[in-house]
Parts: sequence; C-alpha cells; structure tokens
Amino acid sequence: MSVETLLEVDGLSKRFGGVAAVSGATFTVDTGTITGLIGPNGSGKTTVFNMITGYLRADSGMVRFEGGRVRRPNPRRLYRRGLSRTFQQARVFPEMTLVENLVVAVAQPAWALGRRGIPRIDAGRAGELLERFGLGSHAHRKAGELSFGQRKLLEFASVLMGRPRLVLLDEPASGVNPVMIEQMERHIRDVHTEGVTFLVVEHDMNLVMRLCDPIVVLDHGAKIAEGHPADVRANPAVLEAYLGG
Amino acid sequence: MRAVSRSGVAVTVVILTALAAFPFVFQANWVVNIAVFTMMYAGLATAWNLLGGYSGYISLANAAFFGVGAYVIANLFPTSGGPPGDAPFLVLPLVGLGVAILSLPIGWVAFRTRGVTFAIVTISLLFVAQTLAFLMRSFTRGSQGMGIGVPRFPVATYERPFYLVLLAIFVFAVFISWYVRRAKLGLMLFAIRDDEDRARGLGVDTEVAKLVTFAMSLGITAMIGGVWAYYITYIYPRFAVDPLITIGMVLMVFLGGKGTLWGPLLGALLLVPAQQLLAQNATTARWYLILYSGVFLLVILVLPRGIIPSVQDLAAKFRSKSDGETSPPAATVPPVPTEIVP
Repeated sequence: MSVETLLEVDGLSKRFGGVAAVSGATFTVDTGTITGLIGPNGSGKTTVFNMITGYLRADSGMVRFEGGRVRRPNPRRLYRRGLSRTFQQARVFPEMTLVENLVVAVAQPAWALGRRGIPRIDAGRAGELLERFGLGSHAHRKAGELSFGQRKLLEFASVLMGRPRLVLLDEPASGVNPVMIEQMERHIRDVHTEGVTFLVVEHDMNLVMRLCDPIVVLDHGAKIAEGHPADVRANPAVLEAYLGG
Repeated sequence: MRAVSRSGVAVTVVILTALAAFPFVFQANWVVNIAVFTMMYAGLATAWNLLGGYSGYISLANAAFFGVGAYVIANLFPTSGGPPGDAPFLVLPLVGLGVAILSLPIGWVAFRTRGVTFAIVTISLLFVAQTLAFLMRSFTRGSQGMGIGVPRFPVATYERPFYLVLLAIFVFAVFISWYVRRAKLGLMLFAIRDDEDRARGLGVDTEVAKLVTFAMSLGITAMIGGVWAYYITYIYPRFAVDPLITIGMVLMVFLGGKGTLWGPLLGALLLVPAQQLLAQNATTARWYLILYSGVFLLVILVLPRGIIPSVQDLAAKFRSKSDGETSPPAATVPPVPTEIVP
C-alpha cells in the first residue's frame, strides 16, 4: 500500500472563553491506517473531531482531506466527500426503524425528496449491513429499543452506508461489555481490510494498542507524541501526561 | 416507510365519507357553521403537523400566513366588486403557491435557529405581521377592517360550499402528509426530529428538507386563511393575524398526537365544536380560552404524546399481554431518553 496522506490537520486551535481546548494540533492520517488519537481526559480529542467534521468552527488552523483544503467544513458535504464519524454517546434515530436509520444516510440529490419507498439498491445494502452487524433480526424495530451496544453497532453501520473513505470513531468501545468490544474490534478490522481508513479516539488502552498504528497523543490540546504503539507506550512525555496529571 | 395497509385504507375511506356526507345529513345552518370552523382547524392543524409534528420544529408563525391568505382574497374581491361567486375558491391554489414561495426567504432566516429559539423567532414574526396588518393601510385598511364581496349562495345551504372547499384543502393536506411520510423527505424530517446534528453528519440535506416542508405547510395555511376571509366577509388585523389561531392549531396537534396522520383532525373534532358552542353565548364566548388552558394542562400531564400514540401504546401493551409467552421479549434495555425539544 502506498503511503499517502488522506487527512492532514495543521495547527488547529480552539478556545472556549479563556480555556485553550486545542492549541495548534498538527497530525496526519495516512491512507489505509487505523490511526489512534489518545490523550488524558480534557486533552481536546473530541474537540479536534468536531472541528475536522465541521460541527465546530476552528479559531485557526486548517484541515486537508484527500489533498484538498476543506474550507468552511460542513458535516453534510464532508459525508458526501467520504468523511464521516460516529459519536461517543452512540447516536441513532430512536423513533425510526433500523432500516430507516440506514437508508436515510444515503446521500441523494434534492430532486429525490419526493421519491417514495426505499430504492431496492439501498434496501439491499441496508439489509446486508444489518446482517453483517448481527442486527438483521431487528431490521424493522425502532432503534430506540436497542441496547447501548447494539446502538453503537447500528451507528457504525449507518456511517458505512455512504461508502466513506475515512471514518472517525469517537470511543467505539466506551460503555459496552467486553464481548461487544471484541465484536466492535472485529468489525473495524473487517471494514479496514476493505480499504477504509480510520481515525479512532478511545480510552481503552488495550484496544488502542492492539488496533491502532500509528498513535497520536494529545495533551492540553497539543500533540506530544506520535508513532508506533510500542514507541508511544515507552515515551516519557506520554507517561508524564497520563500519570503525572 | 410504512406500507399501505388495508386497515389504513378502510379508516381513510370511512373518515372521508363521513366528513363529505356531514353537511348533507345535518343541514341546520348553525351545525354546518360549526363544521366549517372544525374543518378549517383540521386543515390548519394538519398543515402545522407537517413541519411541527414531523420535524419537531415548533413554528408559531402560521397565523401570520393565514392572515396573508385572508388579505390577498380581500384585496382581490372587495365589496365594491359585487358578489364574487366561486371565483375566490378558484384562485386559492395560486394564493397557496405564492405564499409558499414567499415563505422561502423567511424560512431561510428562521431556520438559522432551532428548538426554543425557533419558536421565539416565529412568534415574533407573527407579531411583526400583525403590526404590519395594522400599518399597511393600502393593503389592509388597518384597524378599520376590510370587506369582501358577499357571495349570493342559497340561504338554506349557505355554509355548504365553504365546508366542502375546506374539506378539499384538508384532504389535500392529509394527502401531502401521507405522501411525505412514505417519501425520502419524511425520513429526512424524522431524522431531523430525532437528532438533527447527526442527520447532517450522515449527509442529510436538512436545510432543503426543512424549507420545502415549511413552504408546503404555510401555502396550505394561507389557502385556508383565504376561505376564512371569504366566509366571514369582513376582516380586521386583530382576527386575521391572531395568535389564538396559532395556539389553537398547535394545541389540536398536541392533543390528537403530533406526527400522526389523523391526530390533527381528532384534535380539531374534540376542541372546535366545544369552542364554537361556548361562543354562541355572550357570557361564555371567551371561556374557550379556559378550555384551551385546561386541555394544555391535560396534554402535558396525562398525554404528553397525544391521544393517538397513547392509545396505540395501550393497544400494543394489551396485545402483548394477551399473546403471553409467544411474543418475543421487548427491548432488553430501556431506551435512553432522548433530548426533547420543547
């Protein structure tokens, strides 16, 4: 696999009042990697996610995706360009069925607003994804009836409806049981082998060390280390950030 | 997206037949008069539900567009022009279309906001429109009021044409609501209602979905305003752009069940006749305001989701009880409460 940069984050900064949540975060995500983004609580990981995906406007700095600068990032346009994300709290559409949760994510031109029913191709893809994530038997139940872990899977599945090139996962393993963590890991690996690149924020260090390479470490909103899992683990600055507090 | 069920078709046929037959079965003028106002609110509430029920955006501006429709008809058919006959009814589609287009830039601005802020922005819009109705004397004649040519319909069945036109608009509103539920637009609106930020993150064009729905809802509202003006034949800013009209339609939707197809009709059937009966007696004329507040309390305390969803829940519970062991266990984990936009 040729190493090329898929996502480039350059000098991203954000202040909330007097607090610098992120200050000059700079890192890259290479095509074909599962890049980890870790750091102690409050180190700005989710803020970085929000700025990359257009939910939050950065004070300064810039983001490049597939070599092109993203001006005025907007979640909808980024999704259509192949960059999508999940949320820490496993956000789904609770009043909609699982199939609807997936089908709504298919980008369609504005003129298709009035199109009735679900196009067969979308229904087929939704069914496939639900089967793959072990949710096939719940296809016509409301997403609000799912367990938290199942919601995480559903959220992941719906992100894949758009056939993304880069997926940002915000704590895929938080709040779910160990069996579900294993499942989630397997799914991430499967999707990864199909050519999708990942940027993962995660607190479960075992999972991060197994899954991610390279790993970027943030502390107080700035990058303090970057590299292979073993190197990052041995890095004194990282130990200091996590243990020194 | 729900399939067309046989029971759904049966319910629709029964409801629409009953509504269409009503003025022919009950011919007393005062009864049909009540039916006219009931049908007016059924249409207004159904139109409001399209945006408010489906997308969760609480628009309080609808009465402003009701007023625009009323004043357009009043300007097109002034008293001096003689009896206009059916002509005001025939121009309604154009009035609806015009107002729908007019509402787009307004919606574009209003949709910069969400939740409570959106409700406040739209209610401000309502008061701006009311003030304009007082001040734009060339278009509204201000507080002096404006007459519309009185139709020469036969006295015995005077109300009937108004009722039937309002019924037609209501059916149109129900058809749009039904169609949207099953279309891509409906899914987009439901996604916006459940979690708008996430919908944007999944490529949903939330702006377009909201604007299109806003325009459809207000176009229908304006058409109804036009019929109302022609029916009462003399309009004043205070009653043509009346916050109580907005409150009435919102309350009916909440009572019947927001986001449901027939909830708005049910709400109108329950509230409007009571209001009109009270209005026939000078002492009790404004008592309906107390009725409104009582119903509001009832909905908030007992039926936060409205009658139809609550009854459906009860029925589902009853069914699963009578099925006993055969039914699969319900959700293993209680759903996490989602954020409710007031």
